[in-house]
Amino acid sequence: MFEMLKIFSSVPMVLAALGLILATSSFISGLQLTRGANIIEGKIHRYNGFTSMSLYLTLAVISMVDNGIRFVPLMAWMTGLLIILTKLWIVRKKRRRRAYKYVSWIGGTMILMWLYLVIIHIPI
Amino acid sequence: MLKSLIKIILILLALLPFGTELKAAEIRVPENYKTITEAVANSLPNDVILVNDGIYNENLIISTPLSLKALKGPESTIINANDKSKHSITVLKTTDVAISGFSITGSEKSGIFVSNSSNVTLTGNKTLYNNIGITLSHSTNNTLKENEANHNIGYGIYLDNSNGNLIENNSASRNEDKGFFVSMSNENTIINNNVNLNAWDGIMLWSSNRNIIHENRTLRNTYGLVISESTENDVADNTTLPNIFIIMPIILLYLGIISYWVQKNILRLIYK
Repeated sequence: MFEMLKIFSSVPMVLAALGLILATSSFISGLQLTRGANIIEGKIHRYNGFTSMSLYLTLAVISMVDNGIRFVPLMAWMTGLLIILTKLWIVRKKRRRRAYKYVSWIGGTMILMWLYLVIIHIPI
Repeated sequence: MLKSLIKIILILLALLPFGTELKAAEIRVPENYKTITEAVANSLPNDVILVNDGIYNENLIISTPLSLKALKGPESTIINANDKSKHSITVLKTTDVAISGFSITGSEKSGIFVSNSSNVTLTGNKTLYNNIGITLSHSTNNTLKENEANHNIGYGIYLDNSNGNLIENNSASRNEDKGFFVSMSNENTIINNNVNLNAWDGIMLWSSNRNIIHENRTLRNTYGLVISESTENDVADNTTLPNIFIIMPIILLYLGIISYWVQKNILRLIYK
């Protein structure tokens, strides 16, 4: 157990872990929201979603400060951000019902993105 | 009478080397010689060269048995290749050489290049930012222990036509090609090394047979352990994916579900 807790010795790992927890909460509440409007689910979804987005941006900044700005990592961070912004854009344009159908898929992609961020930040 | 006296003297003279051992001299750098190259050039077989801290811009060639030791360790004793197109340290056609406690850097070839040699012991060295960290070429029965061959452009540790070597407790990580490249080398023991975060393979065996590869950690390489055109290698207890990489994401997903449930119940109390 102590060995397992040692992996939280780095700030990026803690941020990535928090990000995955919040993104999971946001994803579940988002799935509930697609069934129908609910004030509680809406608040959980928005609060967790925006906090996890802030953590994502913080992790990106820490990575670039630590490792410098390199092409491949920069493109990877930009792709992740593009997925998040696409999701926000679809949700805000609710009239685009055809795109709205696929919003849960984008939510699922973001969970996978956070899983990758957690795995990549587990210290060796 | 005279004949027997001469005989006794001759016998005593013949026995003299067995009774008195030649003691290895200690040579200090920079106290006795300003550069390590000068110290090596003026050393006799089995001498010990003790090097104080500092940055030494040199390309060493060692071709006699000797010990080269950094007194204050690799953090403060650095050998930087003066001519970048040559190896920083070359051990050439000799036996019984020991090199310990240096940082070796800046070569477009190898940090330490051991060629046609045997019984060479490399301990506690850091070979960083070279093309290859440590190369053993056509060399047998050498020992590499507790060295770090990280951040090199090519390979961390490269064995080329080298047999019967012991490579234990080393680190070959964050190299831009392979951690270990064992090429046409047989009967080596590669045990308990950390070979992580290399851009290509962790450990690559090519055309190499009867090697023992045990208890190494090869994490986050493109390929952990690659064995090609090789037979009868004993590969066991190497770690390529520790359980924590699977358990931790699952725990965090569960925590996410619990977090959702807790938030929902708190907000229900507020928005009754």
